[in-house]
Amino acid sequence: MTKKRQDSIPAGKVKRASKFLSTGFKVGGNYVKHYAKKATGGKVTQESLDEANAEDIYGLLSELKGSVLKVAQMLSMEDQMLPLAYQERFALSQNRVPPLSGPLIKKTFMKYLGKKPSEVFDEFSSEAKYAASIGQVHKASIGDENYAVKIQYPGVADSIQSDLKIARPLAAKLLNLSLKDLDYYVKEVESKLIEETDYVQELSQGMYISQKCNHLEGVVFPEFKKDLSSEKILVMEWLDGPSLKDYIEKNKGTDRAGADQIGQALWNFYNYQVHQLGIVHADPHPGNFVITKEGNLGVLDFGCTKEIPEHFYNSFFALINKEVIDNDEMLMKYLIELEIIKNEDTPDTKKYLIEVYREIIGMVAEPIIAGKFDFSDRSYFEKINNTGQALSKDKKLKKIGTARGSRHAIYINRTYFGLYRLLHMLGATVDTTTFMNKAEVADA
Amino acid sequence: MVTSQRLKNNYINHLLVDPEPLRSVLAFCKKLKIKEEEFYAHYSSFESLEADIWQGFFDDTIKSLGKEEEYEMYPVREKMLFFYYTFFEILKNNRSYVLYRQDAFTKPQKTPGYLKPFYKSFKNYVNELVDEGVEGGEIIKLPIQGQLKNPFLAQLIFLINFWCNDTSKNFEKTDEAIEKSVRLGFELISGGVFDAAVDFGKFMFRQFR
Ligand SMILES: Nc1ncnc2c1ncn2[C@@H]1O[C@H](COP(=O)(O)OP(=O)(O)O)[C@@H](O)[C@H]1O
Ligand SMILES: [Mg+2]
Repeated sequence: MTKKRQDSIPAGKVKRASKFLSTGFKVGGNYVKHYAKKATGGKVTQESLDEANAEDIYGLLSELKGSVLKVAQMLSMEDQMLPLAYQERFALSQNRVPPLSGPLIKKTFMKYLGKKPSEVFDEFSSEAKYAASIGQVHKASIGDENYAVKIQYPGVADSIQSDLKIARPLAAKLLNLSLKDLDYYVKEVESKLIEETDYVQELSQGMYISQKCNHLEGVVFPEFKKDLSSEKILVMEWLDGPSLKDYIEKNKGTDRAGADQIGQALWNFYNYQVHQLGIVHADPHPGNFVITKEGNLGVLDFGCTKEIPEHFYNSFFALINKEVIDNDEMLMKYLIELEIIKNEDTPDTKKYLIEVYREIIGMVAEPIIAGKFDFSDRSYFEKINNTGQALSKDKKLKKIGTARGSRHAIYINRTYFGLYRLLHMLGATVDTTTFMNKAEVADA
Repeated sequence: MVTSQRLKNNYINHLLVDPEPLRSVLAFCKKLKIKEEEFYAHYSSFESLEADIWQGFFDDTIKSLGKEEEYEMYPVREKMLFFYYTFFEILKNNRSYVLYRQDAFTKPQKTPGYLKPFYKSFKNYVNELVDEGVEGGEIIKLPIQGQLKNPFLAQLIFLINFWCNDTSKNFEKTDEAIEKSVRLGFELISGGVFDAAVDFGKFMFRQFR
């Protein structure tokens, strides 16, 4: 009997290593991929291979803040609408990107600053303190000032583009959309993800928003170090304190007043940006905030911000109004402006969409219309989840197609859902009417 | 008296600029307006001259590494990375020449004579690193010495070739290739294969898309 090919691969680790290395480097990726499968010891069926690839791709995507997940989440407005299996996959996949090596960090410093880390800083942590999604964060100091130094992995922008290319068909399938419909949204997400790879832009966004929001009570920002920052290196003051995530875990319901105070600071920060600045920090993730020892909300990570076009702002926030929600004609007018209803839709479709969106908007706008809202209210979030699930199974809606809505809504929805979720986790009660009115603030 | 540096510079210059091949050492010396014996005081042939060009790249790299205080403190994997980053900085100043000789790296089965001393120095360097790694427990002990060291030469050739084809700005992709392939190499000889292989495989996949 002839031996199978796999069997003829030398079994010794060293032999395997050397054989693999010499062959691998010659023929490049394909062999590496092939070998990787074998190295796992599992059966090498095409299926398991596909599975491994898919899983790996998903893992990678979620590292890059989940390109697919983002699209999916944003389109379906709520992650409850994603099949559970996918959610788990996304949640479980861990950060696989290896840390940058010391020599590459040095090289990056030399390239952008002309100096080694040890020449720029008195102290520089050789190990990264945090893995960022597309880079890593080191702690450094000059005198008694501490700094956070975020350094980007090489090739990130390039891999985002190729990942999205791979992910498109998967996302389309997942969302039951045509690729053409999907692309309208993918473009928005892709451009945002690419923006995130430019630390110069992050720096200027961070400087702008922090300068404009500095007066807000209970909100603090790290001071950015422009002269030490560049495309791939971002330097700012180190903010001490637990992340909002750790704070929530530790304080779980014990300090309501503290939670309310932080929740209000969060709300004010977002409302001020949305209604007064026209640009918003679009990544309200619990890792992106720290609670200082004074109990202030420290804001980090300005990599993803969204500018809100005037026309979109006007139609979107016109909906946060009981009179509009209750009035078919007005509701339709704004839903058309927001590209949710199309002029060519049949009267029946229009009618159905009006009903569906009346329910959704009524629910989502509830905290704002109420004026003061207790976000710890479980039943409110259950209601949202249940409605989301029901809609995801709604046959009629499926037939109409879900690829609707302005692309600008993607990041705005995400921001508000992120904010709601944070407030829920905090269990905060907040006054939701702050900074809503442009004129009022301008007069004051 | 002519310096070896001047001979090397002029030789490269001739290869890259002059359409006519050099017929002899004499022709070369006439061009430089030097006596033939001045050439032989440094080199026995064009091949030995060119070998010195490559040996020079290597020596400059080692010299530059010697000036870095932190180099000695790094574990061997980082030393290897340090070597490559420095080496490619030096190659950058001679990119046209290396591109002219790229064939030597796309067809590594036939090693031209002028690369042999350089390869030998590189292997010696890697041998020392591997020994250091084995001693420090960073690399598993090798049953047969030398078996592990050839692959590192293959890696060097792979990386030079990659760099020749790299069109990204600042040759950023080469940085990525160095980072990932060296990681893979060391993971293979010190443990977890899978992550490094997938990471590297994915990177290569992007290059062929
Ligand atoms: N100025 C800072 N002070 C303290 N910790 C910071 C600072 N900047 C970043 N970090 C830490 O590093 C992590 C990643 O940084 P971040 O800017 O959020 O990167 P990413 O854009 O990849 O999410 C943060 O979640 C936080 O824990
Ligand atoms: Mg972050």
